Amino acid sequence: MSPRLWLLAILALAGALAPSRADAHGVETCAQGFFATATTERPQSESQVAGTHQGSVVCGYESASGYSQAAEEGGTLQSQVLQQQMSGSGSNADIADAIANGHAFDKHVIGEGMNGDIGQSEFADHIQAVLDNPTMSQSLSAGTSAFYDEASGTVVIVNPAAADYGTAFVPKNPLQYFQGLK
Amino acid sequence: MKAFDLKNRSVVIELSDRELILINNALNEVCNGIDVPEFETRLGGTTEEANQLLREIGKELKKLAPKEE
Repeated sequence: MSPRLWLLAILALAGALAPSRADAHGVETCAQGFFATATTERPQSESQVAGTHQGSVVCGYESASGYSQAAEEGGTLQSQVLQQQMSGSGSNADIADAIANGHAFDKHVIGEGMNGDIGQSEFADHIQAVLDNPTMSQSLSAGTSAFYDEASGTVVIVNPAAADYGTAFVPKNPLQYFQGLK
Repeated sequence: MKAFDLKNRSVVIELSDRELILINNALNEVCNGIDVPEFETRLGGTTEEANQLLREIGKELKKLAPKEE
């Protein structure tokens, strides 16, 4: 066998012995383009399960927003996504405060009576609770992220490019709306 | 967007992924986000037609998304 063939054989053997992606704690690594999405779903308590949802990690990374991160199950994805979107400079509480002090409070809480008669600080607390523990979350196009809370029907969309960092509201058909977002 | 092959009752349109997402999200807003009074009168189609179009666009976007390995 020629030296070149020996080299190819060694490289092939090394590739076969390398750990697979599935071994790495279920971490998904997808090189993606504009359509990158990461969708997670937290386990539902009995009282929260009103419908059947298939929870799964769909895929990995949002190149449009310039971040690259492992998609993980549970409550870590959303906080990691947000922290990376804020370049490590903020927390879910900061984002919730920014959204609650933006247009969403006047438009959706005052204007539409979302969540009844609550103040801005309660609104911020509610947004943070959704960000901390969403029923489902996904990365969207253009660097935004969406978080859905089944119990209240609230959808929080985090948009780092917006002055008030996004919005929070209860759509007409919350689950369908969340699932229809791209 | 490029429109070509215009026929009597149809048109073939080429859209970028961003343009298709924009249309998807706009349809999602009127179908599931907000209440649109007089939907058919204002939009020129029923909510069922709009929802069907939204589903079809969603399917196309899924095809464009990279496959999970």
